Amino acid sequence: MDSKKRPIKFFLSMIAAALVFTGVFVSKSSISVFSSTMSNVIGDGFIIAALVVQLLASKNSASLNSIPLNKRLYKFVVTNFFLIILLASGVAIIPAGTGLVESLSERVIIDNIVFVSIICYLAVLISTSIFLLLYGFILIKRTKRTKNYFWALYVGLLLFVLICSFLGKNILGEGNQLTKNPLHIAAFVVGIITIFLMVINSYRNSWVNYLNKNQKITCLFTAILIAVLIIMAERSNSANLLYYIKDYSLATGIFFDMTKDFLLIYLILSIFSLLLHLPTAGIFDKKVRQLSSLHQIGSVMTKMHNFEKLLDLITKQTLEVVEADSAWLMMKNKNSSSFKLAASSRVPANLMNMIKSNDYRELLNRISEKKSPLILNDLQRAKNVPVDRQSKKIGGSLTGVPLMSTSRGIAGIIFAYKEMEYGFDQEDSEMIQAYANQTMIAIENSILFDESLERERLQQELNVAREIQLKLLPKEIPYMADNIKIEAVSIPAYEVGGDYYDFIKLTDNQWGIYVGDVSGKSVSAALYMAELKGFVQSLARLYHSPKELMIKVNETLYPNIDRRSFISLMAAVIDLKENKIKFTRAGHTPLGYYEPEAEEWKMLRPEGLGLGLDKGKIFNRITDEWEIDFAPGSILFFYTDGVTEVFNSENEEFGDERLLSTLEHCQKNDVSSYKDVILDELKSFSQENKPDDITMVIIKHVKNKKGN
Amino acid sequence: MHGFEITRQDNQTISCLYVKGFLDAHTAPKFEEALQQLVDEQRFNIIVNFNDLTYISSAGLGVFMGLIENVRTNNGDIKLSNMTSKVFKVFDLLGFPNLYEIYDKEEQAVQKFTKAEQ
Repeated sequence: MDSKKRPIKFFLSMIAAALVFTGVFVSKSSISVFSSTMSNVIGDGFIIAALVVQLLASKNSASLNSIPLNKRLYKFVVTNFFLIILLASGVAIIPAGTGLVESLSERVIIDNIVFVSIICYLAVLISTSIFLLLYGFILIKRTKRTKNYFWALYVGLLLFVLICSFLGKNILGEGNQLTKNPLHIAAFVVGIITIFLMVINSYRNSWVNYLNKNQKITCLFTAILIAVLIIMAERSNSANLLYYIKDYSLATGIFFDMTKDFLLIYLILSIFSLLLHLPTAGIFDKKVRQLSSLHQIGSVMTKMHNFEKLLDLITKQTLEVVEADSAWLMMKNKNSSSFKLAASSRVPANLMNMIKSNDYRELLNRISEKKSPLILNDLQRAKNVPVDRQSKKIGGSLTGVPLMSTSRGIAGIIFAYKEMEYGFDQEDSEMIQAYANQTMIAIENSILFDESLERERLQQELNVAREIQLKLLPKEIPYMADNIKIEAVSIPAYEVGGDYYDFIKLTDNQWGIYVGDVSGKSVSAALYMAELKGFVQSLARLYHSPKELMIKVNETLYPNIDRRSFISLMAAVIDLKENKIKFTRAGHTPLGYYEPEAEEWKMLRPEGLGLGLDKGKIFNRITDEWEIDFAPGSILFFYTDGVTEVFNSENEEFGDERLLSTLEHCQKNDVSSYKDVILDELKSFSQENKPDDITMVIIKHVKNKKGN
Repeated sequence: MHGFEITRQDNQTISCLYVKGFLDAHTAPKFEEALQQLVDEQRFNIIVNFNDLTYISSAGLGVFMGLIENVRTNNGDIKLSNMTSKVFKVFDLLGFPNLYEIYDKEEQAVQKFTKAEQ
């Protein structure tokens, strides 16, 4: 507000002061043009204008609304104290006694008028202050009409003042008798309506509800004090002085008087309200505390994701929510009907003993079956009640409230204990229930959060595994020779596949070809594949014989692979100069071979064992190495079992026979891409069924330059 | 998702597990649990009868590999029997007949166990 509004307030206040001065001047100086009555009325008009302007000025300032409720009365007294003292002492200077009007008519000098203006202006300030104080109180918890009633009162009061001004007296004052003069009647009616509006406005004291017990007491005493002071002031000498203000300025006098009455009426009604609220103030505060702690808990709990910390928090908060001496939480074990103590707060040894007892378990079952809260308000007297280890009955009161999960039935039970008997009433039970519901939401949130974190982590893992796996496969088909044509494809079934293939140049004329299959589907499979590739890459150039290589790879792999995992591998070495192929089958699918002379496809299956299944003794003994010709026209077909294990809608396997016949079909029709034809076949066979990993490496020794 | 069932029959020192349905990555844990149970009970003469098994994957094979060492160290064994040709092919391709005794009939496996104890 400050920097902009203060000058405005000051400016308006100055205008108000000027208006007051003018009003007094006009009222009291004899301007021959107007009659005495008219001068008074015009003067009073100025006073009324001053009142309105001052109201606007004061309304602009830092609103009373920023001051806490319980301090407003006090603040009001403190701020206006000085003004009130000034006014009282100022008025006291005017000689008490009779014939004031006479003395004034003798001395119509400027300083008196100035003096009177100051007095009137003080009265204007104080009245405005009172109005704004009451405005602040009345408008708390307002309805649509509250503001209207208030301003109706203000306007009514100004109207009353104006009419009285015409009449030259306060119609509602003492010793004024009603005549048939219409102005009299109008004034009377307006006056009564105004007082009626004061009473209506004074009922708006619901701000009392927002104070706590101590604040209510303080306000009560402050209000009583102010009311008593007002009543006392009425009875003392200075009351006469206020009467004398009316002589200087009727308007100011009447307005000040009525405003003071308004304040008094308001204070009296507020005092009654405070008195009536006091007996229940304690319980009221407790309710407010409970609600606010429930709200706080709610917002804290939903942010708490750590499960253990959440359970701890829940028990601690239970203490607060029902003002218990001890609290603990039993959570149901996942697959059984028994409960386990999950968290506790302020639980002494004897209660702990009780919790471990058999009788207590019975309590748990009772609550668990009924699925409703249990209150034992007098543990000493109750039957079937748990005892501590020494078989001494524990006194006090106990309540247990079940936590119901939406999907899993009862998930746990919260217990609260008070040393006092009859410590838990129906409201407490309801309170804990509401709290328990919130707790369940928080717990389920926490679990869901953990689960979704886990899912995300798994997904991340799979993504990483896929990255690894893609990097392990050859980026491009190598060039071996002009007359060697190579096709290769590897399609993983899921995000991470287990298939592997590689080409390694061993010497100028010798190439190693490796096609394998790692058991399992996740990150570990990808890692084993990486291991395998490492071993093969490093050992292949040392052991040109596939059998020796496999033996060495198995030896190295065995201690570095999980017992339950293994790898099947077909390792072959092509000698481009000799046109021969040596190969070893370590538990892998047979090698497809088209022999150009016999003009037929064969499945070659040397004896062998998968890698990682045996330390070496059996592996080395049974592994075979075969050698065949790789004459022009020969074709080699390496594959993984994903090719033959594709299922159709009748749960039939694609199988070896179909594979062979597809290969024969390709050979007869001289297709350019074996892999495409086979993939098409597989697709039409499987339709929607998801196949396993599919890997194929096809190597053709072309006959002539035409590429056959 | 294909189903998997397992039944157990004990006969003195020998326990026989009858597997039925699909033994793959999803159902392998169930199979492992049954085998582990036998090991926990110190029953190390085990026969697995594959008569009703339709399919086995590498995960199923892995279960054997995980437990066989322990069983053999305790002077027992896991013998396999009654495989269909399809199921046998899977074992055979990998070279399992070199690691396990595979019989056509359960009785042959039982006999082998009894002979060994004498």
